[in-house]
Amino acid sequence: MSRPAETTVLSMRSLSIALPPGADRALAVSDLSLDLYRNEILCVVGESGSGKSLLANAIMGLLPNGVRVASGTIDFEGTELTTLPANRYRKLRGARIAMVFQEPMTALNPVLTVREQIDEALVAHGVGNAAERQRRILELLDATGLPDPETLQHAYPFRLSGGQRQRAMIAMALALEPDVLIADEPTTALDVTTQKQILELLREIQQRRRLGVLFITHDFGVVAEIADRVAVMRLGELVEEGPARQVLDHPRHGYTQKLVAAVRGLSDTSGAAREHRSEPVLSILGATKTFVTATGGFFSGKRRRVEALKDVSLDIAQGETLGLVGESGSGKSTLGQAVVQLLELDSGEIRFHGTPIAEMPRKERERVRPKIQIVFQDPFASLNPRHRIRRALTETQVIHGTRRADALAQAERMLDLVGLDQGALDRFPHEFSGGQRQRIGIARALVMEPELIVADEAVSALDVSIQAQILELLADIRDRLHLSMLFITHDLRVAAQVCDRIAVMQRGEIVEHGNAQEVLHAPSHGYTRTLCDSMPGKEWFV
Amino acid sequence: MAQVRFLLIRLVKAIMVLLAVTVLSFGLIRAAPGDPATVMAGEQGAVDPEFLERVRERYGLDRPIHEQLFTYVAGVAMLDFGDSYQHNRPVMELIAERLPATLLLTLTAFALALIGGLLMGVTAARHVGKWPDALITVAALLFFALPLFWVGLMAILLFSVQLGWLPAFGMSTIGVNMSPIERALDVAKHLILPASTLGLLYLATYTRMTRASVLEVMDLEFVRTARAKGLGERRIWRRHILKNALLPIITLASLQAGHLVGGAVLTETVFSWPGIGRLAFDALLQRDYNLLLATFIIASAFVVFFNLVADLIYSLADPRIEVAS
Repeated sequence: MSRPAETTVLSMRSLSIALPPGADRALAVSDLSLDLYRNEILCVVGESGSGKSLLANAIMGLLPNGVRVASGTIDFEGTELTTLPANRYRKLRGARIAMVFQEPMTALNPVLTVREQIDEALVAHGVGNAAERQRRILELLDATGLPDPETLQHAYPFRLSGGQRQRAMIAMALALEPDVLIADEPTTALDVTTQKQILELLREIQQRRRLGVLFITHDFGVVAEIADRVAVMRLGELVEEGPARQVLDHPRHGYTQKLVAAVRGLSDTSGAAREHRSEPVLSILGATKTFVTATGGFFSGKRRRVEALKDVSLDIAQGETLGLVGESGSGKSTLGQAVVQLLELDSGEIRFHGTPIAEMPRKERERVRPKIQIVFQDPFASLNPRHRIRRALTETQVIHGTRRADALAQAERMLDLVGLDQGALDRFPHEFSGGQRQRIGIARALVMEPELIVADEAVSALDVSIQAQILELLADIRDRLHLSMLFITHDLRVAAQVCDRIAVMQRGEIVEHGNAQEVLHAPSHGYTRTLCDSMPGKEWFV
Repeated sequence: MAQVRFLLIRLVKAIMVLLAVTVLSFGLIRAAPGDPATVMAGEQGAVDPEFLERVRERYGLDRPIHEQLFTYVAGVAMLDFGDSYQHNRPVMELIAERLPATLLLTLTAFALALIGGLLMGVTAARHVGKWPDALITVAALLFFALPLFWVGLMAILLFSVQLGWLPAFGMSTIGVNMSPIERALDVAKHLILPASTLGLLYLATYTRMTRASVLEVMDLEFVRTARAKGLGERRIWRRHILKNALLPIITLASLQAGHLVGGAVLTETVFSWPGIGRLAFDALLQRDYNLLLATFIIASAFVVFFNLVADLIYSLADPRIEVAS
């Protein structure tokens, strides 16, 4: 990356942002000094709670109620923002400093068309002439790579794909040709192939317009892909700042080193991939499932058919971990749910130790079902917030006829196994951190002494450093208890670290299936190659 | 074309619902003990089997029940609800007389409640946690909790008996010659107490619903996007917050509008308002089958109609709902 022209557009000095009383710390951001130059992409990296998003909101003057700038300055081309009156701030927002958000579905108004939403930004900043506005809107949609702007401008957000929505969002942010673009995790909600396109678009627009981009992310892969300079934040403090190459390849601060190591650890797959030749614990044979959803009115007669699974067949041997990788809508979660019997297949069967589960007598099925357990993506949403952990860990056992005292003893053993102490039993889910909650989610799956665990995006909601710990824990437990695992993920890199074999799914079909190393390093199917190519920062990882 | 087809299908569905309502109501009434003949006989003080027989024969009550049902449904299809036993007049005539009074009362109450509720709800949400919010929330809770008939009686005591500002009952002053304008003002004056009494309950519902809905939408991300675009607060409220927050209110209002015809019995009784509600109540006491059934069916027809209106308005207001495509 060439060195950016050293003209400062945004300058923060000793900036502190105060949280309301009662928060986990007094200052969300403390004593931060940082410059953003024209014509560069500055990535602010940090894990959840680092204060990076509040920093962005402070620059926009959009801090949530109760959160305020406590001290310090934000200078935007000679204008002091922290003391700027509301009406002058409003003229700056959207016009000179614009922002792109993480989740384009919720960040766009569902009842206004794309055109209306771009148009109102133009109107608000005094572009009065309707013909001129229309011309600009079409130009913007075209510049952000949206197909057929003439038609698409009249679409409502729900009509667009995730990537198109984010393009529309970017078009909106660029409407008044701002000097600074703040992008808050703009690709986090997108599939990896879409992410790649949006990153390329942002880079292209940044260079064409010589924008200063403040890019907020938690993902070092994305940083490696797009950053000119990097600022690393931890618990509100700036711990390291420098040119991207330097920070990524030679991090100085211990925290950055730890983060980089955690991410790079993901691509170290030397320990994974063992051969398994035993009889399969689970066999999936010709699994097929089609969802039919009504669009439109009750009687409009229009139905949308989604073939979630098309004749999928897979085996999982004892002690083996099979990775199921795919983008959203590929059918990977549907398959996971079918395996744990949460969903009935249209055709095909799922065999447990050779016997089709659906054909088992009821008694037998009740005995087998707890042997297949699932760990969900969001541990907070999948634990009942009003039940103590004691109940979460013993309820299923008691239902299946275990005596209460035995169930409790088992719960304690499993908590110990996942690295939590027994004090956890009397607490509620909200009293734990995300990583701890996922440990509880794993313990909950283990109490029934399963033979197979389905991990459905089990580490996707976690910070990188926590992600590494949980992956390690899963691998450790798998080896100790001799478990089989179906590991569902959108992240090829994560899969390659823990899985022996990987199956890649696309639109309900398995397009490639093989040894984890081979799939990652020498993909044979075109789609797998696209997935591999789209992984952000892939050159840096190698 | 798609819209027309959608409407036709909905219309057929509506007719089927009304047919079901007719049959069910018919069965329900017949299942209750006693019939018009016994009530009439009781009034005349003569329980003469021959008299009962004659009455039943005259009204066709002696024929098999399915035959009666068929005759009745065939009549209803032609908008002929038969004669009222009690009033000796066609039921349609009676209803046509009373319906305008009920509609005037309930629509006024509804409009007051909707407009007032929206204003109060939005005001409360804008000042959430401050005194206007506290005041409005407590008031709404109070309106919701107070029994309707008690509010009505207290209002009569205060505004009619004590202060003498407003008339206590009826729909117009009887026996005075008035110009059309004076007549309208007279009715309006009679309308104030019953309409506001009936409206209070709905007002509370709309206030709370609007407040909750606005509060929810206010925190959504697209509102933040609108601010990030540099829009003024006025425009943010109008285009982004209200446009989305009012969607659930549309559903609620349309569904409630359907119950307006049947929902005013209590208020009509307290204020001696000459509407359908009281007509139905009397018909029930008198086992006036035809009249009672007709009020049931007409009330249901309103519910079905406004349900359809709700769907249509909603599909216009929310692009995610498609009538047909």
